[in-house]
Amino acid sequence: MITGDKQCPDDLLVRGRRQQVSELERRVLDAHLGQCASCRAALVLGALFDTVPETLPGDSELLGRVSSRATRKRPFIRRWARAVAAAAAVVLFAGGAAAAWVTVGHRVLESRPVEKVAALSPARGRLSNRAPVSPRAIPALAPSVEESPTAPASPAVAAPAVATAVGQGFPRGGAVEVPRVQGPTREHRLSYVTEEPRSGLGWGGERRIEPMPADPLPATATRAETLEPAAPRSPSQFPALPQPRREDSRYAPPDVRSLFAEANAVRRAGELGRAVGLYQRLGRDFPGSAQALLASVSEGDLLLRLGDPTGALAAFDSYLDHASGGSLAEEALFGRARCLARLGRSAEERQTWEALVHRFPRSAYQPAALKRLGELRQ
Amino acid sequence: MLRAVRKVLGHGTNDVEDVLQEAVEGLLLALVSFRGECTVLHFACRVAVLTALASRRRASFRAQWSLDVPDAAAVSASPDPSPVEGLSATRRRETLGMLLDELPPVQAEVLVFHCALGFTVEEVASAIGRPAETVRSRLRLAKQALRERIEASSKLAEILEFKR
Repeated sequence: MITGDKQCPDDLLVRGRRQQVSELERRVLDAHLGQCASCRAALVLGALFDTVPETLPGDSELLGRVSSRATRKRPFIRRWARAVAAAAAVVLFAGGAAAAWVTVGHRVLESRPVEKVAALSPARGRLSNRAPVSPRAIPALAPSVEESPTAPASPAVAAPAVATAVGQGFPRGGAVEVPRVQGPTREHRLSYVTEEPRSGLGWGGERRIEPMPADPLPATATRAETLEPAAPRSPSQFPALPQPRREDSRYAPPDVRSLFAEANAVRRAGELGRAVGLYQRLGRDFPGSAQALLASVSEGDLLLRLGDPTGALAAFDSYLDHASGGSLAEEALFGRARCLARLGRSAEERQTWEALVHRFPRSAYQPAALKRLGELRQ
Repeated sequence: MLRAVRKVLGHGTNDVEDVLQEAVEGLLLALVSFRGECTVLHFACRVAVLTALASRRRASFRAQWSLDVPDAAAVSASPDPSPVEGLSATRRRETLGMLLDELPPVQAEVLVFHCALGFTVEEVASAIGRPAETVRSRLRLAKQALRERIEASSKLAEILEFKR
């Protein structure tokens, strides 16, 4: 008797159960089963398995439940995996980009003379002595000078190179801040701004002061027109940045814009006290700027609403003193008149209403002004 | 996969759906490690068989420490025409489960593939990722252990209608 060894025709046994054997194979299989108790045991086991039905009523519902539960769980895993993959991609991309900038900047500054650095390929932000420089690309070179241990040790070599590439200006104090890589530096933006800050007729909810445009570069002005070629200079030759001229509203540093936009947003959000603080900070930090002038009118209106007519009057007067013919003079006069009414200074109030009626005969404040003038005359 | 789970567990148990759910989720998680050395169907069948065998072992272990009565639903759901035949079929399924539980896992796996699902040696080898000779050896050992177990017990031989 065979007790089960390598000679057992296992596949023949399977095919025999499937009824896929020829007559000759059937005979061979029967002969083997007559001798091999192990294969008979396996055959019995197979017969036992065969008693289990392969399909039952309700299988489709069962499979539906299982598949719905499985597919309900999977999207979460996929979303999670996607989120992780996206985060990893962002980190890798950002790290790679930063490393590439540092490496490129380091190699450029290390291997090229000062004159050649300024004449880099136009494809890299048009770096040339004659061509203007992309301020977004060049500030990234500055950190490489500071951070690379193999960077030129002498600032007299590295600084002019960077300065030449930048076009103008150099981070003062030798400290290069990483955020500078994010966008144009203040000095670059200064060179780009050629338009007047726009302001609406806004007042009292119907007409509002519009924020400054996000991109100060006018469509008609090219960077070649706004940036002048800069000769290599040593760090000591980089003077402090020129402050914006008080009367020239074209020069609007980005900090002024962001602060003004923030103040307007805070005002629209209803945080009046905080908005007043921001408007006052504008006037304090950037006196004479267009935004500071506009902010004084907003400040006066808010102070009046907050019950401080004296402060509001000072704010309106500030605007009228500096820009009596400005776009918000109408609103400033209206506000000034209301402040004087609150303070009980009737004579000055009447003069202000009359000035408003006289200067702006088609003003939306005419009805209110005429009504108040009538009351004051009685 | 349902067929494989049901073959291992038996058609009357209420665990089929839970084990199938476990197997499907295991398959979805294991697909990332699927190396394409066999068909997806064989891969899924293996996941289902292993999951069902593990579930059987867990249930067998728990049964040693519990006093639960036999599953009434399983008996009532039996398709056997008469109570006697139903009881006999139930006893055979219990014996089958006991025999599978007593086999080493690798041998039980091969035996289920071969006897329950009707896989050839080559198909089993590709499904479990082992050489055909290894499968043949495991199958031989499993059948030998099965025979010895049946021959050692006349009651088992009677239940299984095994001719010595």
